[in-house]
Amino acid sequence: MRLIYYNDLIRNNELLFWIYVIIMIIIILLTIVFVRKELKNESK
Amino acid sequence: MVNIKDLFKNSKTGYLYFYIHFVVEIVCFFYLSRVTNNSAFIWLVPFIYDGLAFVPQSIIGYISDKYPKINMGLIGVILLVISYLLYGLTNISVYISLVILCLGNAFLHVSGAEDTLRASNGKLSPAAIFVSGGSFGVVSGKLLARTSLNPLILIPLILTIIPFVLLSKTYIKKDSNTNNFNYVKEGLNPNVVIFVAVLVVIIRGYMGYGIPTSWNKTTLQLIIFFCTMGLGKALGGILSDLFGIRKVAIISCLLAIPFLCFGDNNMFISLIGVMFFSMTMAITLGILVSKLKKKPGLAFGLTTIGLFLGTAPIFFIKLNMIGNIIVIIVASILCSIALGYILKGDKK
Repeated sequence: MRLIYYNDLIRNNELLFWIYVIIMIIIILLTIVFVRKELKNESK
Repeated sequence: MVNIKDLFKNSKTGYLYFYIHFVVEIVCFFYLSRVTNNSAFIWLVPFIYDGLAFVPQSIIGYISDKYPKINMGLIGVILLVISYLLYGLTNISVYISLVILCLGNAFLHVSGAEDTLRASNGKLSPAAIFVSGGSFGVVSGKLLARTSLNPLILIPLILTIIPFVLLSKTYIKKDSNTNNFNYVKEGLNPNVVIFVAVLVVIIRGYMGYGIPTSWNKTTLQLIIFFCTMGLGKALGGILSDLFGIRKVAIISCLLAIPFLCFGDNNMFISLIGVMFFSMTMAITLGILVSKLKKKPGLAFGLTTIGLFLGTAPIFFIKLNMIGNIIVIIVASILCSIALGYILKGDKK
C-alpha cells in the first residue's frame, strides 16, 4: 500500500481541502439526522 | 413470474432518464477531462467533483421529497448551462464553474431517482435503466474531450434534456409513490439495514477502482468496458424484477469474484466480472427505498454518499495487485452475506 498525492494535497491546497472536508462532513451529518427522523416517522 | 413485456412497457421513465443521465455524464466528463489536461488540477478537480456531485444528493433528495412540486430536473439543466457558459466564455476560476456543474449533476440525478422510483410500482428496472445511462455518458464525454470541440457546442445538447424532464413528470401521478418497495426482511432493525446497505455501496465503490484490467489499452476496449458496466447496472434491476432480488444479489456478488480476479489479462473474462459486479447498484437502492418509503430522494442520496465514501480513499491510497485481489474476494463474500441477510426471500 502506498499513499499518493498526500504531500501535494496538503502543501498546495490546504485551505480549500479542509473547507471541502468540513462541508462534506456537515452534509453527511445532516443526512444522518434526516434519516433517523424519517425512520422514526416510518415506524409510526 | 413478472411478464418481461410488461416490465419494459412500464419502464418509460427509465428510458427518458437513461438519455438524461447519458447527456449529463457526457457534459460532466467532457468538462473534467478537458480541465484535468492541466496537470495542476489532475487529482483535485475529480476529488471535488466526486464529493460535490454525489454527497449533496441526499439533502437535495430530502428537499425534493418534501416539496415535490419543485422541478429539480429543470434546476439541474439551468445549472449545467450556467457552468458551461462560465467555463466557455469567461476566465473565472475553474472551481466556480466546477461547483455549479456538480450541483447541476446532483439535481438531475435526484430528479431521475424521484421519477423512476415513484413511477415504478415497486420495480427496480426503471431506476436501473436510468442509472445505467451514466456509464455510456462517461466514456462518451471522455472521448469527446479528446477532440477539438468547443465546449459551448454542448450547451444545445444540455438543453435537449428539457423535453425529457417534462415528459417524465407526466408519468408521475398524484398517487405515485414507493410504497411497493418491500425488499427487506421484516423485523430487522431499520438503522442496521440502512447501515449495512450503505456499507455495501461503500465497499463496492472502493472495489470498482481496484478491478485489475491490464487488458484495457485501446479506445475500443475502453468503450466496451464502460458499456458493459452500464449493461450490468441495468441488468441488476431487470433480472431482480424477473427472478428475485435476493437470488440476483447473492449470485452476482459471488460469481463476479473469479471473473474479476482472473480477468486482468483477458478482456472477456474481465467483462463478465464487471457486468456481475455492476448488478448490485439497483439492489442496494431497492433496500434503502424499502426502509425510507416516504423519502425515495433521500434514500437515493444515501447511495451516492456511499459511492463517494468508497471512492475517496482511492485519491490517497493505492493497493498493489495482490491487495486488490484480496479486497475483491473478501469484500464480495461479505457483501453477498450482508445482502442475503437483509433481503427477503424471493417469491416462487
